[in-house]
Amino acid sequence: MKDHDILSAFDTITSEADGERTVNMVRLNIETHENQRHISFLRKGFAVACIAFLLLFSVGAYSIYQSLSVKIPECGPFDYVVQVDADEDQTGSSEPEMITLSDALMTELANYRFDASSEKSIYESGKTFDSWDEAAQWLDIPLLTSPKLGGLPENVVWGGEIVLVSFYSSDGEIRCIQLTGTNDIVGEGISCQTTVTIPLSGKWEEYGVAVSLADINENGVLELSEDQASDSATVNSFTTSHGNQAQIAVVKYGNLYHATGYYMEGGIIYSYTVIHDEQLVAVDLVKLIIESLVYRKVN
Amino acid sequence: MSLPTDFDFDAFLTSAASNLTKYCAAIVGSADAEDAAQESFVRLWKNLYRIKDEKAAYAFIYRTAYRVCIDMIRFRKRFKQPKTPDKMKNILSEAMECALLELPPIDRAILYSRVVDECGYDEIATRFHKNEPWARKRCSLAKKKLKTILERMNNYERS
Repeated sequence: MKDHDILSAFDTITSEADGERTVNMVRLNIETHENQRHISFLRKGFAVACIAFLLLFSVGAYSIYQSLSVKIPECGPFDYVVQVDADEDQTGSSEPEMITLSDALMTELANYRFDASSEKSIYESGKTFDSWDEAAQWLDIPLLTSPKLGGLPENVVWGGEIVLVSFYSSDGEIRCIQLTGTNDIVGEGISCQTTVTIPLSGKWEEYGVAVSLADINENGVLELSEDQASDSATVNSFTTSHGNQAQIAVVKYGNLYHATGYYMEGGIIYSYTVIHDEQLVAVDLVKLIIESLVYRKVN
Repeated sequence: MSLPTDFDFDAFLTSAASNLTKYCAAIVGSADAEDAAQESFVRLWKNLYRIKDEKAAYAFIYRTAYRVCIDMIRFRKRFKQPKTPDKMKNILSEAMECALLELPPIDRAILYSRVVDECGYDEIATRFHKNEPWARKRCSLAKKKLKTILERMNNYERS
């Protein structure tokens, strides 16, 4: 058996195999494939164009819907309001006139006060928080600092951070958001309530006891108006050791003095009310709190 | 699909089509050889991004052609079994044809590569994705098998 015999046999076996036909068939096949690919590409392109059109249409429609459905309050002269605890004798209620946030109101608020990215967090349920940080996170606002009130006398202990987020309104219009600490500083004859107010826009009628109106003057300083209805109300401004402006309003209820310190930063008003039977103690403690807050900010 | 700059598929198709079709014919028979070769070339075309040069293309297409042929044999069942040699046709070449057709496809492919395409063992090894000793051994075995078949045929004719 020689290779030549094998070669000859293979020649016979493969004699009918035509390479030329193979070439033609391959070219035809590839052409078909390319046509199919081209058609597929066109189809995909068309599909992508359709999706892009739908997306653009959706975005446009959503924008139109937003512009139609959201009523943005008019921004007039800013009358900023500071929440002060209402007195039962004057208002008939021991509770400050707060309206609990509803999802609908928060949505409306969000449309005005916050950008779209924060809407999601506001939609979430839950209005009471264990800490300021949690409340701030929920509202998606940058609070100046968590009011831990460091530097207070040793006999004064911060009682905890249970925060109530409220919507504040006097005439049905959105005016401000408030975060109120429901736990007080515990000390001998001392109690303190912390409130953070995020003012919005529009006029505001304050029915509180020490302060009736709050304005931001041309220099960006918070100015409080004394409540004329209360004879004992006084408002004094003071400069902190770091040169920041703050104000203290004091009013007497029965035997107790309510001293409230106000400090504004970034359009948010921080107020701390200390109740004590001695006016000077209440005022000094408020100053200490404000100093502590500013000191934190400076550092 | 990114095409290598130094590889011309059309030129390769023109130059390799004839040999590959015959190679397929040796394994699967002339009737299906063109289909097998065509399928192999199309698979090469779809995998052009993996082909660096002509050498790689040859290795790829012969490997693919063998697999395509085996698939055809296995699944299409179209390959005609070799006929028993006619007593009157005892010409050596016809006996050899029948003996070759009786060989397993892989032996036919190896013998074809070695005898017709005059491949070295390294080249055969590349076609089958094996090493050189494997190719050398299989080639030797294929020849032994062929010889055995031919002897059996001669005995048959004598009887």
